[in-house]
Amino acid sequence: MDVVISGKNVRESLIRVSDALFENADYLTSLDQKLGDGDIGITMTKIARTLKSYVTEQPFEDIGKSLVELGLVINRNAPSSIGTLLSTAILRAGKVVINKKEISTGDLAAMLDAANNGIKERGKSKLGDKTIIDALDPASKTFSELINEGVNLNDASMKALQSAEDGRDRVTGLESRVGRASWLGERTKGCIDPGAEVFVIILKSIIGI
Amino acid sequence: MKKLINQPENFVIECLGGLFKAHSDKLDFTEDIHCVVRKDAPIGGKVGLATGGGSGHLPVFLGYVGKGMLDGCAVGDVFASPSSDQMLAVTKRVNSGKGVVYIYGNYGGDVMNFDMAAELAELEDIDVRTVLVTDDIASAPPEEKTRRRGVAGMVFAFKIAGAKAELGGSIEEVVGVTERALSNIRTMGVALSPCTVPMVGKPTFTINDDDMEIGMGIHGEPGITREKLESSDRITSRMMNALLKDLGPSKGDKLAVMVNGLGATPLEELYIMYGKIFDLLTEKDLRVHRAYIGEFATSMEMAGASITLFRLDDELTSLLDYHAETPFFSQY
Repeated sequence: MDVVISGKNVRESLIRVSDALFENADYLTSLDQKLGDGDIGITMTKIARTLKSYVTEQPFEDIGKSLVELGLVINRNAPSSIGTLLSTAILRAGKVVINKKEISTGDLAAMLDAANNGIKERGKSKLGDKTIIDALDPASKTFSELINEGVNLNDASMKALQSAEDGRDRVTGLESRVGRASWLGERTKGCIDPGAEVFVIILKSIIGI
Repeated sequence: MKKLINQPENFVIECLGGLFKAHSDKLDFTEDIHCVVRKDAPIGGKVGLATGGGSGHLPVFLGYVGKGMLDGCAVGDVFASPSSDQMLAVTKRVNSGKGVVYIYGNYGGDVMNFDMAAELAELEDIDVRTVLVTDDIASAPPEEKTRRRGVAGMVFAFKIAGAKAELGGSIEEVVGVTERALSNIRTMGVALSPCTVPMVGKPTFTINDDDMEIGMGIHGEPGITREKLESSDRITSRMMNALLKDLGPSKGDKLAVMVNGLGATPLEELYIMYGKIFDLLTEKDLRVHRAYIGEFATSMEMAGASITLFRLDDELTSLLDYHAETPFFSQY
């Protein structure tokens, strides 16, 4: 069974992401204050605002083109490290489905994979560095595997979310290895990585739970 | 903090405002004052050259925008990367159709934003290439050369790339000769006192009055060793030994030398260092083709200096000798 996702579905899920980022901005800032410069909440609020205004104005007829444009606008409005990484992810995911009015679950898997590779390349980080990748990479792999095996969208999404949460929790006890947080070394052990948490929040709201 | 400033948050914008008032005959900017370009950009038929980075290092980076050197520069806050959007604006403005080469120092934030800008530029069919400057030998051992930070040696890279582009080189030729130049460039610095970022209000690091730190980065990144301050000759010899070991020149090689003040060290002290450098090179049968002594890449009011050695071949020599004219750097 291949569920088809429309531009309208994409818009609705992005509005849910926007709401979730607004709601979690202060919580994310409290995580970031232990590790970085505490500006992640500001960035997420900027992204949430951009998402809402862009999604409201755009029809998402060409899903890929709209996502590429969205990535560009987010980059302009939220130019911090995590802002640049997320805009790269959206840009790369959009490039995979250029000219498509509807997308399949296979497309979704390819988009997640492209987003994952985009962030790895842009941020020059790998698994275990304690970044967004530690949640995104396992989620992408789980989702692709299950979709390939013919598992339905709902079950594959829930399993991917579980992988993201496990990945986030797996690195909480480790030291941050990239970015400003890496300067704090030992002191980062035991702190939840705000980037990994952002991805969990985004994935939850895309799924709609 | 004791500085001649107004509101700390206006430090960069007011500096740029003064700069454009002083050099309106040579410089221009896009809609954003942080995006500095040559007044005559884009230059038809020429590969565009762009750089960027945080403020606080004048003349680096924007000081080398001008004839025979760079076409544009994106300017960030003090010690902070400009945004990819600003780099993209510079890229579009300096592209004449022959593509744009990014030449900048190897720092995480800058790399991320420049890579993003390159990806966005490609969506607009602009051919963008990147040359990273990694000349600071104190920031990583030779086997991890790609991790090294970029410091004063980037000025030589700007000079070589600028001349090659001005002479009509293709994008491949400009990238190739700039990379060859950088493989022959090594820098090392010593810091005696810290600087203060206006928005932060306190020094970037602390160091005792009678101490020095050899190998310290231009943003206060830790160096190789911190110890009691020694004589100029002694410090210079130690830095030269490390540089020559890393560069490995042969007898008779021709070099360009830069002695760069970090902001609070007087020219007199730089010339004392140069005297020793010249003697040490002569002893080793190495020839100095050109000496550059002054402030080229600073760290605001940090005291200290860096030494850069640049081994030359025939093409690099003629490109280094080519004329250049910017508000901060002229050579005829």
